Amino acid sequence: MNLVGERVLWHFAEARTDTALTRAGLWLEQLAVLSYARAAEVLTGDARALAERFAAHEREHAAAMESALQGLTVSARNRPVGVDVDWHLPGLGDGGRDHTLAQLAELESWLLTGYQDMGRRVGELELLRTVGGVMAGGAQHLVALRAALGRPLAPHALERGGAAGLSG
Amino acid sequence: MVITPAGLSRRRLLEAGALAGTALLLGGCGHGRGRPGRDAQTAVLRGLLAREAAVVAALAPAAEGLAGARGRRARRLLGQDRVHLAALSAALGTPATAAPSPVVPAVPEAALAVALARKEAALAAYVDALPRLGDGDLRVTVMQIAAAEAEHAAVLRLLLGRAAAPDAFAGLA
Repeated sequence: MNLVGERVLWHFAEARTDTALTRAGLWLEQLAVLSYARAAEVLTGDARALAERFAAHEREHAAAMESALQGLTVSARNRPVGVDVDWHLPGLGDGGRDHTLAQLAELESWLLTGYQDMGRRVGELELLRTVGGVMAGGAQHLVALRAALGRPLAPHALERGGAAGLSG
Repeated sequence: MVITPAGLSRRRLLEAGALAGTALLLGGCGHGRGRPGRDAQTAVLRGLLAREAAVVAALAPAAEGLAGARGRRARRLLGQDRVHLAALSAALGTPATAAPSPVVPAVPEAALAVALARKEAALAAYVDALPRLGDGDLRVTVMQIAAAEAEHAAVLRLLLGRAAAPDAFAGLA
């Protein structure tokens, strides 16, 4: 597992309850919003448009996870800030178009792995309707990012995300 | 809690989270409460197997009829769908059998559009199945297939000249 995987999956690994797992998902979706927004600041053309569109999608994912959390009668504890982007995706935006898109693919990929970990461990199974929709949206982001990077679009029959060892 | 299984809208995705919490409060806080039984799980898997077979039936003519890079991509997806069939059959403990499927257009481009529609329906079915699977390992397998199906739908959209990810929830909204 690489550094991004360790730092993303830590949030799920630390969670011991449905509430904590959902909070982890919400926090990471908010991190994805910030990450795409930062990427959009440095990208140009089609890549910038993609980052802006996916930032908007991530806001919807975060809203869905927040709604799920509120359904558990708890609220978010804190929100990620810029330094959290630096911690999870060091140097995001500093390395040119392809490097930036690859970092975003890395984040999406490990998020997908994290949601599957959540799928195994969650107690309240109805949460998985929300998680499943968010995960599917992330999987389609991966295809768009791979297309922009000229990588194989759907390399695995069983998509395990970063755990497959091919996050891009 | 009752959430009808057919399709998922964005509102329903949001509502599902709220309803899940309500059910948790009404039912107590224990994990594993009301887990689906083996028979219910088997029925869910049989339904998913039929969905996957319908996808294969639609994708095969497109994969065989398209030339060049588009054909190669479609054939790759078809091969992965056969892996999905095998995984579901293994989970059921029965060999995969060809299920009857609605007629698919012989023209590859038209078959591609039908395959996309069936992929989207299959994806909705996989996501809908998750709360009805009591076994954690099986849920992960279904999530892995669902993620692959979401990717396949995105690839098919690209093959049809559309945007890969036109909305936040992979067409489930």
